[in-house]
Amino acid sequence: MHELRPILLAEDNPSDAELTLEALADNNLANRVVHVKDGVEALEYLRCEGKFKTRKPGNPAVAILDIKMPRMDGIEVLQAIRSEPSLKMIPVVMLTSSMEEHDLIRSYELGTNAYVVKPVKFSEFVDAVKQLGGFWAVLNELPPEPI
Amino acid sequence: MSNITQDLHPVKFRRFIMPAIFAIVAMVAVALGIYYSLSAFFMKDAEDKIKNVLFSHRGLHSYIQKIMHPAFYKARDNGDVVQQFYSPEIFSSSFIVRNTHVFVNEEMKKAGLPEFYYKMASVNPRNPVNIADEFESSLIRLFNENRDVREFRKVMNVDGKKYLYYAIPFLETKDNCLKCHGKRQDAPPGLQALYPGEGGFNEKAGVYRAVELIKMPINDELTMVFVLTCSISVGIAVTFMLFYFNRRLKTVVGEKTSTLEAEIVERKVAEEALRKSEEAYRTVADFTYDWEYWMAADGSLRYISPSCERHTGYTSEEFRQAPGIMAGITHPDDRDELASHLPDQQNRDQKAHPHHTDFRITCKNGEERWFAHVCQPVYNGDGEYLGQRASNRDITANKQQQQEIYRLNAELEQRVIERTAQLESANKELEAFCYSVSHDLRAPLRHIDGYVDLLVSRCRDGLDDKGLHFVDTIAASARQMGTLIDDLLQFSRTGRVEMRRESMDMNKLLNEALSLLQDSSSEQTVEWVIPDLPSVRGDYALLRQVWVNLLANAVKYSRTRDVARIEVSARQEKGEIIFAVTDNGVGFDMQYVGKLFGVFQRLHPVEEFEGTGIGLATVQRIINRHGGRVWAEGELDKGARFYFSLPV
Repeated sequence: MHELRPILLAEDNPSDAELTLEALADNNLANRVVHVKDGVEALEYLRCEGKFKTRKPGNPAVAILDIKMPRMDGIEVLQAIRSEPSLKMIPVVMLTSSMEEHDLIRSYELGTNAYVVKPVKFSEFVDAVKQLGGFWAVLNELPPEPI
Repeated sequence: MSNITQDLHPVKFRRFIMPAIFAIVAMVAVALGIYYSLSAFFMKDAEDKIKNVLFSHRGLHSYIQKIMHPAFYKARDNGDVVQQFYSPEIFSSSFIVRNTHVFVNEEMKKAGLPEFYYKMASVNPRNPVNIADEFESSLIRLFNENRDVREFRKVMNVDGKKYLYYAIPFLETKDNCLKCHGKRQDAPPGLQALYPGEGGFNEKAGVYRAVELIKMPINDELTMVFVLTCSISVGIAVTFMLFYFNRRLKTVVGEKTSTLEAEIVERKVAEEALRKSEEAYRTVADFTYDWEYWMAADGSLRYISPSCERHTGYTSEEFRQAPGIMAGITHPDDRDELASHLPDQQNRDQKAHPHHTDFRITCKNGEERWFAHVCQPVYNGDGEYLGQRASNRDITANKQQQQEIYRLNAELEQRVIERTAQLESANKELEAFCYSVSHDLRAPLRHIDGYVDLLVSRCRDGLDDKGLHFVDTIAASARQMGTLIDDLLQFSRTGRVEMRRESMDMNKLLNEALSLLQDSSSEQTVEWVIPDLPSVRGDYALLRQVWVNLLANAVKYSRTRDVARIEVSARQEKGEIIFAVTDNGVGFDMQYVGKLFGVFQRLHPVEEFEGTGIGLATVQRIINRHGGRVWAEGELDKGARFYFSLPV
């Protein structure tokens, strides 16, 4: 039985996380959402290290990364993902508060699949997340899982 | 001068020929006169000598006839002498005189004087030696026939020698004479015995029976005449010539003197001019403030201005006596450059530009001074190298100022570096601040809106209308703040993004701005007036933003008009292109024009015209970054005109 891959959400701000989770939930996605609080935790999850040592191995359907996070920011996580052979195929969406050109360019240089600025208006935000979830978790064909 | 002499030649020759002819003629006349005078004088003298001799002989004849003969006849009559006695040695005066003359000639010879040829010639001589030749016979006839003729003289040539021939008739035959010269039978018997022929007999009284003649050589006299004539003539000629040439000389000397005087005047004028010129040059050279000199090819000083003392402490005399001072006082680091900055003499170019170099010297008092040296090679008219002419200007004060400027510049540079670092760090801080604003300030707003939305969607039933209004207001305020933050961020970004400068078609830019604008505009009627715009250099995206903001403003503030009229124009003046956007909208009061371009400054309430007040501030920031200016004109309710300029 094929299990839907989870969505990894890296977001330090609890409110943002809650609203994002609300928006995702609002979309009735079957995928499980794994929420981590910063970049270090995100990588621990991806590499099955630390508190995720015991999780079932496998890459998420998509990694949604906030940029500004404590310890390790989203761009550093992106860089780590793209430089590790076992992780580099994971679709990554940068979901950030600011339309900072520097971040935008840097992210695309490092190989992000999308860069989305969180709209201030919640309804728009919900729409955006709905589309994101729908696209990456449902429509998008994922690369084969490495054995 | 030589030209004048040549020109005078023919004149001088003409002037000379007439006096020369006159002088020759006069000289010939004078010489002839002298010749004849001297001849006459010497002939007379010779003649007198001859007469002297002849008259002595006559005296002797007279003595014989008048004294000796009577004395002898008295002695015969007294019987002291026999009747027949006759001796020519005693009785014949011609015999006695002829032989006396032989003795006279002997005496003359002894005294070294010329001898005289003497002859008593008769057509009827007793002694045949006295016989007259043909010429002498004719003379005897002449004297007998013309008793007035008392003498005969002639110069004659004999064997190439000149002689004076002088003859006088012999004593007239008297009765006494006939004693011996009468009839033969009447003559003394001794006489008859001695002379057998008829010679000397049969004479008649009152007749000249002989001539006495003397031939005297006159070569010496003639030579004397010739020599004297020549001498005197030559003397006179020389004197005349001397006079003539003296006069000529005086004239020539006079002419020469006046020429020389004129030359002297000329020379004096020239000398004066030269002196003045010399003085002018000397003044120019000596009263120079700079230290000037002319150094010959051998390193000796041809000239050095007295001002060298003011600059170096050494007098011009010291420099002249020891040209080595120049190198000696030059700073060791500058010596080579000063000595070698002139191009190699072999390759020097006559039209070479002056050569510059700066050098230091140590003055006599030990002070170090800086000089700006400029020199150039000197050549005479033939292109001969005569050394170099140099001028040294004291630039010690300049150098000190320059060094001060260098120091200040270095300090300033350091300060700029420090300030730039500070600015860079401030900029980084600002960037971090903006980042944090965009990221962190937006997040709570999003949260407010998100939670308000969740509240309304989940708890709508628990809220009355007022509650819903409050919640709406909270959400609207949050969104308004979000817009403000977004605008502020964009404004900040326009100041920070890296600007590219490229040439662009302003028409294309404007059209893009218009299409962006029309996407968001309502059904408002706008009459656009857009001419062909010139190309400019700048950042494409930023300038497009300028047009968008200005045109959007024009549209926004003229939307109360039935037909909005928006005109774009461009003109070039004084190195910049000025663009203007004119609308017929609500305009503004000129007293608030200063606030137009301020951040978040608005002249209209937001209920009337929406907006945050960031548009014109952004325009100003972009145009300023392009090196241009922005300004505006307007009148309340009569439209507005916004200008911006870009440098060409």
